[in-house]
Amino acid sequence: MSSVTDFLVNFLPGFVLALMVIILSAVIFPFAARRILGFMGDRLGPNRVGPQGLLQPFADFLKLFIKEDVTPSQAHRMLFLLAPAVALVTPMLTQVVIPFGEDYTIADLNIGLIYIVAVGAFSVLGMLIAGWASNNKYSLVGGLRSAAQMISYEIPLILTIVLVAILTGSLSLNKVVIAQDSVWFAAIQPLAFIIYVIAGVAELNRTPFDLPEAESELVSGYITEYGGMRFAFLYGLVEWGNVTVWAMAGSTLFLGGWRGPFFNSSIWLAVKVLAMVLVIIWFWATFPRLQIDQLMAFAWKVLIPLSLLNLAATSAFILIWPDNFLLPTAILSWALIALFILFFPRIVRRILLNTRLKLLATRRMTTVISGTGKGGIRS
Amino acid sequence: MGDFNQFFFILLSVVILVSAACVVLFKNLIYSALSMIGSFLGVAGIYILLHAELVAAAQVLIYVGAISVLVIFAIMLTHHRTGDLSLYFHKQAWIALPVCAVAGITLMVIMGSAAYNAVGEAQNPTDENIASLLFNEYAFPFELVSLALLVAMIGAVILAKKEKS
Repeated sequence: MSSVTDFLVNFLPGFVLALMVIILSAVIFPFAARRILGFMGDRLGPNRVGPQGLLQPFADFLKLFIKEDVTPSQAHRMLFLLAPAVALVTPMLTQVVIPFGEDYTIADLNIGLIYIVAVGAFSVLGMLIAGWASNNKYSLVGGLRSAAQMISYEIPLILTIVLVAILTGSLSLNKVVIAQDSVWFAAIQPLAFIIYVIAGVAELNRTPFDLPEAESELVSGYITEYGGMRFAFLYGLVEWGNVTVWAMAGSTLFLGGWRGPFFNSSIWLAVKVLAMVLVIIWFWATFPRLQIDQLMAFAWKVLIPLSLLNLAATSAFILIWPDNFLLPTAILSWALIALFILFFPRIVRRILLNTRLKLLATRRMTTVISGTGKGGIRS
Repeated sequence: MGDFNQFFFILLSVVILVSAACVVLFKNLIYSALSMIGSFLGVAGIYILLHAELVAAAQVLIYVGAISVLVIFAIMLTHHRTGDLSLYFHKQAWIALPVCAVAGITLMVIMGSAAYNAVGEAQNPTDENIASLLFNEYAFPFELVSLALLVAMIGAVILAKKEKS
């Protein structure tokens, strides 16, 4: 029987901690996002309930909790109720391997990095089930889009995680943090870090990759049919929980986790998580939404080749200089990123110019042939 | 510890068997696909009980994350209707029955033999062992498999392109 009590003693604190992290993020981040978006858009944002609107999340939750729990009559009831629970598995279980502090990890698995990727599968599943069970075309299209997008962007994400594993020489997240004793991996591998951020934003379906929830065309994607408490669950706990967990994994992999200047504590982890979430909100206020073809082209033609190149070069450097590979890989990565920033906009501009010229030519042709045009694109 | 493992083993076995039966018995294809996921997860749990965490993670990553999602994707994208009869009243059931019986009896005979029961000790951690075997002893088959996957991918791309033109 002692093993059962052991299990409970190990399990319960971890469970409560993971749940608290997700609930806190669901309370803080939607409100923070609205206030920050307001600030960036030169608006006020919600500032009426309590000082500076700080009680707004509680008012929102109260409202959502006392709403009637509606299941659409044509929905598949069992799956409709099951989907949010499946989707919550990812944010809950990912936290198991993340080192919260110097001596606290819920379970330090020696396959932590693979585990994070494996657990991510459940959120795709939850979205697909929610989209299908709602029996609504917007939900279905939203679910399918998010699944397609997440599968595409998982490849560059996994390639950057593999890079971290190679640099560390281990799959355990605790060892990843220890390996960043002297310098963060974000400084050694800025390219990998940027690819992680971009692929993560796409994986979380945030702007500019929020096609699955494009409100002007799909209402809210797979969440459309969910209301009241279930909406709060899916939008608050699952979506923002995923954002938090992504930020936790990112700050552990690239920003040194709980390590920081002056003292080592989980406060640093919290600060880094807040910074990464702030970046996501900043993107939200800054970038317009991409089209689906641009999204896929960016993943397959830019991110995957870049991360493969980075991975191959880094592994080669580690083979050549097995003892002090940090400096060469850092130089390479910074050089790659400089080249990327210098030449990528030019290439994109040239491609855009060419497509516009082609479009212009074809339009002129069709107007000449059909005879309906009144001067083509210029008028 | 033994009782605890035994309890989880029985629980997981029940999950695997029930969900595997549900795959065949459900009339709705989506329900079948979802119970297939339950069965895969149960197998992953068995791997964890055997201290093969890497294999369990790979099981979840590949079977739940990739294959099941692909199956559900295919079902959702194609127009389907719920069948009048579930699959076990299908005509092919009569062919499947003897095949399953032969396979089952063969498995039982193999598992009953002495050579099978002489299981080695569980090695922990497994990831290093697997990696060193994969990249030293079995490097050639490993590369061959990756080549086969590449060929399959290129083939899929070509097939998808042909359909458009």
